[in-house]
Amino acid sequence: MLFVTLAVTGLMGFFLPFSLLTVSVHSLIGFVFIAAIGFHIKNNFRKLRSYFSNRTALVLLVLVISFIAIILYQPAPVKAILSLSSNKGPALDHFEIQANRMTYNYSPAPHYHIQLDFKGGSSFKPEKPPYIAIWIENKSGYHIKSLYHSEQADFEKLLPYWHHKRAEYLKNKQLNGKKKKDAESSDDLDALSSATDNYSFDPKDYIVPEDKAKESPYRVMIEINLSGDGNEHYEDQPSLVYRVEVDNKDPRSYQVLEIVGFPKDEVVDGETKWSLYYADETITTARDLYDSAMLQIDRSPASKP
Amino acid sequence: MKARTPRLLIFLIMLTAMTIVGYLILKDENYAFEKLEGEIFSTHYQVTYQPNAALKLDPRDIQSAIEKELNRIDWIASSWKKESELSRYNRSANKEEFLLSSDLKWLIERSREIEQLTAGAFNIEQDKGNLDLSGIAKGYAVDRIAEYLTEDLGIESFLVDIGGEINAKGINPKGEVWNVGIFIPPGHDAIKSPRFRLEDSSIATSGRYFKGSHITDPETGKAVSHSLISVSVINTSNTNADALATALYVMGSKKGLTWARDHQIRAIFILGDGTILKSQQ
Repeated sequence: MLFVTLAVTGLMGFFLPFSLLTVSVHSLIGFVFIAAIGFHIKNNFRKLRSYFSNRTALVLLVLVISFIAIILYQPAPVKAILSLSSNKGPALDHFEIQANRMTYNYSPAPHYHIQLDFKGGSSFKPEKPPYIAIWIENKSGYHIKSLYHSEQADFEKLLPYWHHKRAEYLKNKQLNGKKKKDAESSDDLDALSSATDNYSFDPKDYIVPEDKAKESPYRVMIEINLSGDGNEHYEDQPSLVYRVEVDNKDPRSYQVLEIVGFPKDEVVDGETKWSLYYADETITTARDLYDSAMLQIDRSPASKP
Repeated sequence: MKARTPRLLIFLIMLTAMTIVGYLILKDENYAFEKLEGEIFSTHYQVTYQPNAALKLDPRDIQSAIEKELNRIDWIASSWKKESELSRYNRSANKEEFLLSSDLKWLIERSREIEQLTAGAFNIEQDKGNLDLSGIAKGYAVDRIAEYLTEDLGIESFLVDIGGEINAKGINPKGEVWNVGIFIPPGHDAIKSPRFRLEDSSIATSGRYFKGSHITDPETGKAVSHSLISVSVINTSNTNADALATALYVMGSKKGLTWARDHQIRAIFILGDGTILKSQQ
C-alpha cells in the first residue's frame, strides 16, 4: 500500500502541475517507507547480507548509485525527460507574513528573481497585517501588471490608487480588443484610423524581454494601508504609495523603496482622477508600518527563486 | 432541327458559364492583393498592396525590407530605446556638436516648423530640454514605407497602416477607392464612426480613449483635459497629419477648428457628446 501511494503521488508529481498536497503526501509516505525499509533490513539482515555476496546484487547496487548520480548531475537527456513534466515547481510568486516582516518573491523566468522585503515598523502587527498591492508601471505611469494584492477587500476604499490604475488598464485592454473587433467586423472598411499610445503594455517588454535591445525601464509600485488607523487628523489614515525605478542593465541590484505620497481623488470634466500628494506630518502611524523596504533583483543565469 | 436546339442551348449555357468563370478568375487576378503585418513601435502594422506584376517580388522579401526600414526609424527616433540616436542626442552634453543623421535632422526641423505654425501647440521639447518625437515619428514611418512601395517597387495600389496612422493610394481589393473609418472608443457606442475615401492621401488620429492622456499641453506641462475624444487630420503627408492631429487635439475643438479652417487643413473633431465637427466638408 505504501509503495502504491508513493508510486501514484510520484507520477502525479511528474505529470500534474505543482500541488502542495501531492508533495506533502509523497514526502510523508516516503518517510514511513524509509522506516519500513529500516525494519525490513533489521529483521532480514542475514538474508540480505547473503544477497550482497552475490555478484549480481553488487552490479545492481552500482547501477542504482549511478542512476541517482545521473539524476543529480542532470545531463542534457535527463533534463529533456524532466522538462516533459507538467510540474514547473511552486507558484511564480509567493507572499509571506512573518513576525517582523513581509516578503514577496516573484520569479517570472528562471534567471529573473524579484524580492521585496518589508521590515516591520512600530505599527506593524502580523496578526493584523496591512492591505497591500504590488504592481508594475511603465515610465509613463501606466499599470502594466499587478503582481500581488491582499485577498478580498474593498479595494476602492482601501487601496484606491492601485484600484484606479488597474481599472484603467483593464479598460485599455478592452479598448484594444474593441479596436481589433471593429476593424475585422466591418466589411466595407479597409482600415480604422485611431490614436496610438507610444508605449507597450506587455509585461514581457519590461521584465523579461525576448529581445535584449527592447528592454525598457519600469517601476515597481506598492500601495499599503492599515485599516482603522485613525489619528487626530484622519478618521482613518490614507494608504501610502511607494515606488522604485528598475533598470534592467544591472544584473543584480538592491534598491530602497521611496515614499511617493498618499492618493487623493478629484473630479475633472466629470471624470475622477487620482493624484499622489506629499505625505506630510498629518500622516503618522501609517508611515511606521515598516522600517525599511528593499527591492532585490537578481537577473543572473544562476538565480533561483 | 429538334435535336439541334438543345445542343445549341447547352453550348450557349457553357459559353456563358465559361465567360463568367473566366471573368471572375481574371477579376481576381487583376485585384489580387498581398497583406503583410507585424509589430513595430509597440503597435501593430499592416501593409496591403497589389503587387507589381512586372517585378514578381516575393512578399517575404518586401516584408523584410519594410521591417528593416521601420526598425531603422525606430533606432533613430525612439525615445524608449536607450541607445536610439534620439536618446543619445538627448543625453549628449554638447548637442551642437552631435552629428545628426539626415532623418533625425529632418524630423527635428520639420517638428520645429510645425511648432511655429501651430504657435507651440505641437512641441517636441519635454522636461529638461529633451526631445520627444513620438508625435511625428510614426507618421514619418508611414510616409517612408509609402515612398518605398511607390518609388522602389512601382506599386500603384496600397494601404499602409501603422497603429491607426494610414496612407492609401490607388484602389482596394474590391477595385474601389480605399474606405477608412475613425475608431470610436468603448463607452461612446452611440457615435457613428465617420468614413472617408482616401485617394493618394493620409489620415492620422490623435486622442484620448481612457483616463490619463499621453498628450501634454506644452503651456501647462500637464495632460490635456477636455471633452474631445479624438482629432483626425487628412493630408497628403502622414508626417504632417500626425503632428497636426496632436497640435489640434492640444488646441481643443473650438480653437482647433478655427485654426484648421484658417490654414485649410482637413480635420475631423469627435467630441464626447457625439458631435462631429469637420473643418472642410
